[in-house]
Amino acid sequence: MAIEYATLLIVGALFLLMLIGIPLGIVTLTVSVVTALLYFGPNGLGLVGRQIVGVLGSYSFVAVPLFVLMASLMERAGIAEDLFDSMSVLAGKMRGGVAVQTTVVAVIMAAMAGVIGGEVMMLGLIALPQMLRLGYDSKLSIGTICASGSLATLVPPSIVMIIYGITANVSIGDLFLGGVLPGLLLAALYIAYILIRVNLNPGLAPLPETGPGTDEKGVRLKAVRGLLVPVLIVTVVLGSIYSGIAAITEAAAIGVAGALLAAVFRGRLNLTMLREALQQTFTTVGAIIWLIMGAVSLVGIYNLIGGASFMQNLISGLDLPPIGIVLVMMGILMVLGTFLEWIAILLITVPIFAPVVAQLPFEWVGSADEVKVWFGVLVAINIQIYFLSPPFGPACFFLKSVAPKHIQLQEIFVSVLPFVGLQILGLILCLAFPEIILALPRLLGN
Amino acid sequence: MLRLCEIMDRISRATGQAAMHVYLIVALLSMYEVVARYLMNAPTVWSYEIVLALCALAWTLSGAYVSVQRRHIAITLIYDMISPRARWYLDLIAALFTIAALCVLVYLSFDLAVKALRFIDRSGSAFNSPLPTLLKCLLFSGAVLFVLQSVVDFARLIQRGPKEV
Amino acid sequence: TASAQAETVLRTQLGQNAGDFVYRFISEEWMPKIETMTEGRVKFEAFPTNGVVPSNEAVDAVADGVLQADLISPVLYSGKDPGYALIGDLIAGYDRPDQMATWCMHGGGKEFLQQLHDKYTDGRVHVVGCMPYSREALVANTPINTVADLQGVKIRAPEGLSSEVFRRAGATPVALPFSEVYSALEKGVVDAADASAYVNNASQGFNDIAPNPLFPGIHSMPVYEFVVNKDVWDNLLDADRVSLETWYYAAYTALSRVADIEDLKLVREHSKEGSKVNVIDWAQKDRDAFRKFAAEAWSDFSKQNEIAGEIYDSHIQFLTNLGLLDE
Ligand code: NA
Ligand code: NA
Repeated sequence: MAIEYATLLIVGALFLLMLIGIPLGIVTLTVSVVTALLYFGPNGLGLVGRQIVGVLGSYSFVAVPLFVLMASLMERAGIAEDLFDSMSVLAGKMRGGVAVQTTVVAVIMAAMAGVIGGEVMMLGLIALPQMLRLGYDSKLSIGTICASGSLATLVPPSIVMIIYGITANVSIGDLFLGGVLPGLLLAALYIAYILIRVNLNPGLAPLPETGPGTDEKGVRLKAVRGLLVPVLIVTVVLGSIYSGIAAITEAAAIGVAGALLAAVFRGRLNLTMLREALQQTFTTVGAIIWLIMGAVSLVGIYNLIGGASFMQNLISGLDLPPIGIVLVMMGILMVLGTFLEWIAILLITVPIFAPVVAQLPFEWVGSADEVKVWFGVLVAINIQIYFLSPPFGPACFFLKSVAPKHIQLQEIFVSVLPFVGLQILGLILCLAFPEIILALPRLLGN
Repeated sequence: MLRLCEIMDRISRATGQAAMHVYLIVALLSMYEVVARYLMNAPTVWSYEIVLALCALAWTLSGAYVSVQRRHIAITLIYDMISPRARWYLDLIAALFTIAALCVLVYLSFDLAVKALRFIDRSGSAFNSPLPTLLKCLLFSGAVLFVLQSVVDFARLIQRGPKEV
Repeated sequence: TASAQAETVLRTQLGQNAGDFVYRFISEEWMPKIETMTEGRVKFEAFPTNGVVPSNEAVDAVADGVLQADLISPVLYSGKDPGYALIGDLIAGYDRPDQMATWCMHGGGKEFLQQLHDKYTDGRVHVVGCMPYSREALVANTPINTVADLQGVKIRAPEGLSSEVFRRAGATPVALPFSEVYSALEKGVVDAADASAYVNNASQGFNDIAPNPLFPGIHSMPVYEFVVNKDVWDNLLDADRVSLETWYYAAYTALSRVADIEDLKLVREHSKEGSKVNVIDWAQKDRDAFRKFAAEAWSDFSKQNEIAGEIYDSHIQFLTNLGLLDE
């Protein structure tokens, strides 16, 4: 069969089976098994199996369960509450202060966690009630929490970047460094947006009659205490990677130890808590790994039947300048992001896009390796958009699960839209000024 | 019948609950390796391969457990819009696809495991553990557990019938 | 008859990444030639390392007929049989790639490789040839001028045989994933590391952080096999088989020459006055002394099974004939 039709059939089958609600891991496994059988007969099954065994033997992937475990331990240790309290210094003094406080807390949390979910839920539980009580506009509050709570996969460490690095063969350490400034840029855009909105329309965020921080000395002490543990964890995890003491996987293990210690200090560590954290990790990672096993084998077979070269010819046949091709890719990612799971998006697009981009003439961006890092971080920013964009916006679902009953999913969807706009603005800035992404990898990376 | 289903649920849950502790051991081993390498200047030859083996154990055995917990990632866009009766039919289709795909996985991983066991494939490193052979055997065991759990879920679905919610 | 012969596509997995110099040299400059040589009857389609299957299972995929050929190093199959390690990379054995190539192509290596593949794939692949193209340079951040300087040096050596050779010479072998080598060298966690050919090491920046490279290298010289699925091979015309044999010989000899020139060009530049890189070339007596340590390791390693023993004997005979080992 010509590769054009095979591609259409494969993509069609993937979408159909996904849409009728079959678990994604089973969808990718089914499609790769059927493709292998059709093209190579029973011997093709060996190919599926060898690819799956290759996933099981991939050391970089070991970092994923460790980062998930670290995040669920921190969630249970109550680090977010401490942080939020300590950042209340910001709150009482300015209009919209609690929203700004929420964003700052989210950025610090993001530098510890590699997965979103826990973070949006924690902020939803801690920050949302406070903002609503103070009379903040509910749309502004919801949007702030969803958008800044999703930063965990852009600010390092990040599981999205680990999986991108494995799939596209790019230095994960450089990707991590590349995500720092874009993460801060997005956070700055969120804060600027909040401040502009509340100053144009003071009704969106009334000033509290008495700020939570009237006792200056007590607040400062609290601030120091609440910041101590997070700053320590961030320093140890990211510091051990960039000082060359630990590999990314090992740094994740150190992060687990840090989270355990934090739990001990807060008096929250006990067997039940530990077991719950392990169980959450086991289930989350279990769901991801079965999806990846199916998807990786599908990519291997698709390459073999000529898919990779077909896609490269197709994209280079678009007759667009390089930046146009990248824009088309970003557009595809955004569209997929409205209805697909992020792992599915990465596994479908990255093996096709990354090699094409690496071979495009992008001298104004940098060397071939730098272009790969630049594109990887652009993809990670796109995944930020995916987390918010309806109808399949996981951050919205996470918030819905902890928000007061009267807040409807539709209201959350409307609330996040301005923030999706800000994310697109950030994406365009990073496209136009690659230095935002590449400055740190050039300064500190390999 | 129901009795059998419950036993299978319990097996899946028990293996999962045992296997999840692996991640703690992996964290400890990885930290030990950092200490051994950077503080004692005596890196181990074994930690890397043991960590991989332990993780593969957790990953392969997770399939059945995630099924019991109903936590496999799926897109529920259409599912959420239709009647409970129509949902039953979608569940049926999903169950059939799951069982079929996993049966193939059981078959192919069995084939790979047998081939690897014939000569015992090793890693070829200084430690030279039989890691490649172990990975294939683990994939087979995980697939068997997963398909049994899926068959049990399927049986329950049939027993319930499309009429009830 | 020739006109009835259908076009044969050899889907071939290589041992390099798609952007690498070697990958492009083989897939872009040499693979298209086979179509002309066979008047369009045979065609290559290249895939990068791990592109279709994990590298250490490539030959199984060729046996299954999913791939039709591979061009990767048999050292990756060491876990299946120690014999593969002795064919794939005889650590510290030969001084120059052409010596090892002669052993592999004409001194019995190819036949041993066929024997091993017959055992592990039930005779379903045909070995066309096996040759190295380069001696890897050892990157080091402290000067290692003689074999005695190896004493206590921490060297990253992932494979069983190479770590055993370095251990016997007094060094401390460290098993690190390749992704970590750079920072480990930079922070001095390891003093030296086996990496790749001089030109590859230079382009990856290894000489900046570890400015005492050993060139020509002292240890690793991986062989790249050319293996074709047996059914596919048997169905080819005699003329096309000879074309493929000739193609492989020419392509990998050319690769070896070109890689050598690239290496030498850089080394000459780095040897100029004022260069920060201190290129170290071991004296022949040190190379010979290191080979003696290595020979003990090969000997022990080869005792694991019968065929490994035969491969070892064949190497020893060949090295002695070349004058690289004393009788
Ligand atoms: Na993060
Ligand atoms: Na979305």
